[in-house]
Amino acid sequence: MARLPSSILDYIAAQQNRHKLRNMTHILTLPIRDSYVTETSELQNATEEQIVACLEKSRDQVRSLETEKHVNFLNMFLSPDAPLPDKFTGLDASRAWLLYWSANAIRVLGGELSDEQKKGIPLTLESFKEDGVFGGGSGQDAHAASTYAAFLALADSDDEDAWGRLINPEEVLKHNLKLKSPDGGFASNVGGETDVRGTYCRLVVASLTNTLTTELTDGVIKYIASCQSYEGGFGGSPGNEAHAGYTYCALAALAILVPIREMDQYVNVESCLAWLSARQYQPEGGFSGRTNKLVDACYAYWVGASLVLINGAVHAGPSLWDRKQLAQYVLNCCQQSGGGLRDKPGCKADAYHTNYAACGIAMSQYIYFPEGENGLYWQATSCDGADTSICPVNPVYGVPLGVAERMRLYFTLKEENLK
Amino acid sequence: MSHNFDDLEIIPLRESDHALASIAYTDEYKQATGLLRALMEKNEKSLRGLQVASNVIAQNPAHYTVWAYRIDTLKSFAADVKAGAADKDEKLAALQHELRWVDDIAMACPKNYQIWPHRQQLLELFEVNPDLLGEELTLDREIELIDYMLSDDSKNHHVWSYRQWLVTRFPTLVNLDSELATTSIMIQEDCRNNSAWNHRFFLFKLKNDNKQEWTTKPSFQEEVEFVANTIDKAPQNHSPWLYIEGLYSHYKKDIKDLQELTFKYACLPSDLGEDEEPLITSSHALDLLAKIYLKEQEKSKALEALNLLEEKYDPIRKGYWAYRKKLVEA
Ligand SMILES: [Zn+2]
Repeated sequence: MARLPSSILDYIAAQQNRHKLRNMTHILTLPIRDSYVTETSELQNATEEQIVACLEKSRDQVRSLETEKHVNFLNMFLSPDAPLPDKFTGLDASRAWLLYWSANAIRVLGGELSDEQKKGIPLTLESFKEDGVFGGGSGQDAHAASTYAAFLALADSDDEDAWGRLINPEEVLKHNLKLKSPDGGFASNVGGETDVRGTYCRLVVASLTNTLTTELTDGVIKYIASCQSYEGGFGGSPGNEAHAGYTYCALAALAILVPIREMDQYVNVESCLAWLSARQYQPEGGFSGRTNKLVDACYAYWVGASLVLINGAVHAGPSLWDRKQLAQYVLNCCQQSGGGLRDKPGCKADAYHTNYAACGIAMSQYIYFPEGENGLYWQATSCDGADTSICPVNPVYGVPLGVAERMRLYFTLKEENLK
Repeated sequence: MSHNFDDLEIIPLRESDHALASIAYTDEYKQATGLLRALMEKNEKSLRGLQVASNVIAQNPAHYTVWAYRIDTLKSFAADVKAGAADKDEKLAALQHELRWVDDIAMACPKNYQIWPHRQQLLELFEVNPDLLGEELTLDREIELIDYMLSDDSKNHHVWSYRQWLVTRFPTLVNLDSELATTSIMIQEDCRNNSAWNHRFFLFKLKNDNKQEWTTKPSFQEEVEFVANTIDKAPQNHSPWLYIEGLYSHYKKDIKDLQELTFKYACLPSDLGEDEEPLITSSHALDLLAKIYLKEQEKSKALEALNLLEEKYDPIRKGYWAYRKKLVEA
């Protein structure tokens, strides 16, 4: 498939205008501040102060990524013989997520999974299987989010034999169809909520197993479009407030269904871009997830990847957000000294924020160009001064470039061999 | 009330000893989830099952499987009550107690995801079986719970989504004007509460039958005045600007009508005399002004506004403003 002339122009612009990422810190000030006080402004001002103090402390240098510490932190979730303490019981239904967040973050940060971990992922997920897909733990119901996380963790494990053993594309399709609702949405589980996160999770696993049939995708674009709010971002369901997590799900789901450059035929890309761009705050440098909410490192991915996707439709060049300010926020304010990445200063690091902050840095260290029509293939070129120890990440699938592509190829070839 | 489980054999967690991300559960949690697995395997839907479900949820409210088991159990109770089963009185009592039980869980775990689809299914169950509730189904208790939850966390995404589901699902039981009044009060209390603005937009869409024509009371002009008054309190607050632009776009009004409003908070140096400094108190006003000028084909003024944003009033979004300039020049 020939690349569009406009994306060549983007590429040239990126080469000519390479960003200096590693540099002195630079704290912007807020040009306009209202004096009228409300609960929101009090919280915002207090957070801002804390973050500025944190930025000022870092002796004018953008900190580098403490990969080793972070990998050690993540290994805690992937140790076969050292269970997590009982305070993690609240994550008992999110164990597939823990596998994905941890294994993926290790790979994105440039670490390597041990053989024990690579084997441990399918070994663990084997007992999570339910109705052709996966639950959040052994003996739990099938769930869209657990299935999504399980597939990506398996993809990260590189264990093709396990893919063949644990995943049967026909069963995946059957399950997905069973949970489809008449409005074009998908329920997360039997009796569970229907929202655009469910849509995204189901389309990802359908795409990986090459089971995006017209029966499955019929009406889905319309459902996604109906979740766009007047603000420009997307909510979980029609009418809901624009939220960066759901906006990412909507755009990434759309990127699986239609060529990215044609997204403007289905949703309002200009208002979406304006809203996404307004998520970056000054002086913090980080992204927030909603209008008038606080910055949080996980949005480095949800907003960052959304901007990469929307840029595939608007061709605005590589500078849609201030990459340096974002890196400064994540690296100087969100690296926990004992390892792991966190929402903001004062919060504790966790696997979720470590993964999405890492993927968010990957969005900012590289410039991405879509290739082909289905959101699966991307080219990445590093920014000047980028930390290339971090891997480029697929902005639709949330795994290092090459990982999702390989799984899709595996199931496509398998299908052809069966014919 | 305590039940007997002697006949049930606990099913332990079935997984490899070398599984990853395993958790050192407390004995209490092992016991409760072990019973749950045993009950689910037998497909038993009973009063004692409900008790086990409560116990698991108390220890881990994010356990979606137990919620699914719980609603299935309650649905089977509804059928048993109808069929006049021997233990129908106890099952009816359990059904009638359920909403109150969920209230407590909601208040104890405000960020929990699972409560809301559970409540949705309960209401739908009572809707088709009004005799189960013993009283007419109203939304008073729902709105009361929601208001209580929002008084603690005024932007709780799940709670707002549930509120919108209620309004959409039970249009005859909801008073849209009192909903609207709630958003007015919340915006009065904190004009930066974007969730309240979003709900307001949603309500007007419903009041106008989802059409792009404004037929509702208050009039469009009155609503614009409400927004303008709120903007005046804190002109740099993004929420009302997004809201008013959203209204204009959805109801196909001409944004040129907003020029006067934007002039209160932004103007261009080229419109002023030699020594006058422009007083700009809202970057959002400047943004809207750029859009209005572009619409009026005054490209150089649009560019002037965008330059101010790029250089002085919103430099962290430099790249975005540069893109907007590109669109003007095209
Ligand atoms: Zn977060």
